[in-house]
Amino acid sequence: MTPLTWTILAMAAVTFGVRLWGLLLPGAQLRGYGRRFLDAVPVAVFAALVAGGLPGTDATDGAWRLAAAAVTVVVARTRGLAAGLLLGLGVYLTARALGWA
Amino acid sequence: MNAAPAAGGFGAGFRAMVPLWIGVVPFGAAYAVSARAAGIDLLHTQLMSLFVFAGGAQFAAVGLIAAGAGPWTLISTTFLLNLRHLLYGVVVAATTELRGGRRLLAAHLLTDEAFGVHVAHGRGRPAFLIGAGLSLFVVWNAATLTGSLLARSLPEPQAIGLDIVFPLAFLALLVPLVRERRTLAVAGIAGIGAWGLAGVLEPGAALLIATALAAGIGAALPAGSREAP
Repeated sequence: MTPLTWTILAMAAVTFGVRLWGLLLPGAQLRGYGRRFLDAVPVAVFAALVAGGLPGTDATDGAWRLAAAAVTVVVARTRGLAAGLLLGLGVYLTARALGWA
Repeated sequence: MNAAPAAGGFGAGFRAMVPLWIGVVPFGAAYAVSARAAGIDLLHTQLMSLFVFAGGAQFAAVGLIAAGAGPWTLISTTFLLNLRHLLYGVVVAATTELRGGRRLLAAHLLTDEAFGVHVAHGRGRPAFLIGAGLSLFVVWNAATLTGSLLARSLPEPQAIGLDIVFPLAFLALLVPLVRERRTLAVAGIAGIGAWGLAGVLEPGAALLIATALAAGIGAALPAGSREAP
């Protein structure tokens, strides 16, 4: 095995270990503040992933805002991830093609 | 968090991930193209997708290898970038009973996307989580192999506008969860925090700090009964 192979295996062990560590923690037994914290994590993660993924992309333009509005309206009304995502992507690509970026 | 029924769901989880393939395929291919351009051979490019299976960390590793970084830099950066997965595991474990081999498999497959569709559609169903994770794993690795083989002829995702898929997908997962003022406040704090920290810290650290800060403040706020505007 090469040094790069060992490095990749170590990266894999670190990643797997962090994920498994979380799965082993007793989140189900938490009550009160700890439980409310865990309840808030998905909302916080998704919001951070949306906002944190924007710098460095073309997503800060008008086309992105239009696509984001389309996704928000469709998903809020239908709860459909696929429909919202496809429509949002379609709106974004159309707006870019029309020069709204 | 209300747990859904615990039975079944592998196929549902696998299918729930399909809309995200639009974004996964070009990014998996782009990762492979970047890796080959950095001088990493096909075998090691694929090994990283098979064993590390963490897109952000893999892209970072390619950049670090291209810059001549050593093994400890790669390993510590991977740890920092993936530390947020600790929170994912705690949230999943709070609602979904995973034991033995299923827990080990879930630990390998627990990505941002798998966590997202599981929280949105599959809480309480371990098979749903495995199905969603495996769906992403198969496509990510197929895209890596394709990208490695066609490295010279593929366009960048940014060039064809597909870099927008992930922010849109996470927005689509976020919208149904924002039900009242407290969750709206949590989303706002996390979004502003991640935006502000993105240029200052490593992406994984920025996301972890913004998430922990927003969830910590949100947990201290009184439960909201009013609908979000």
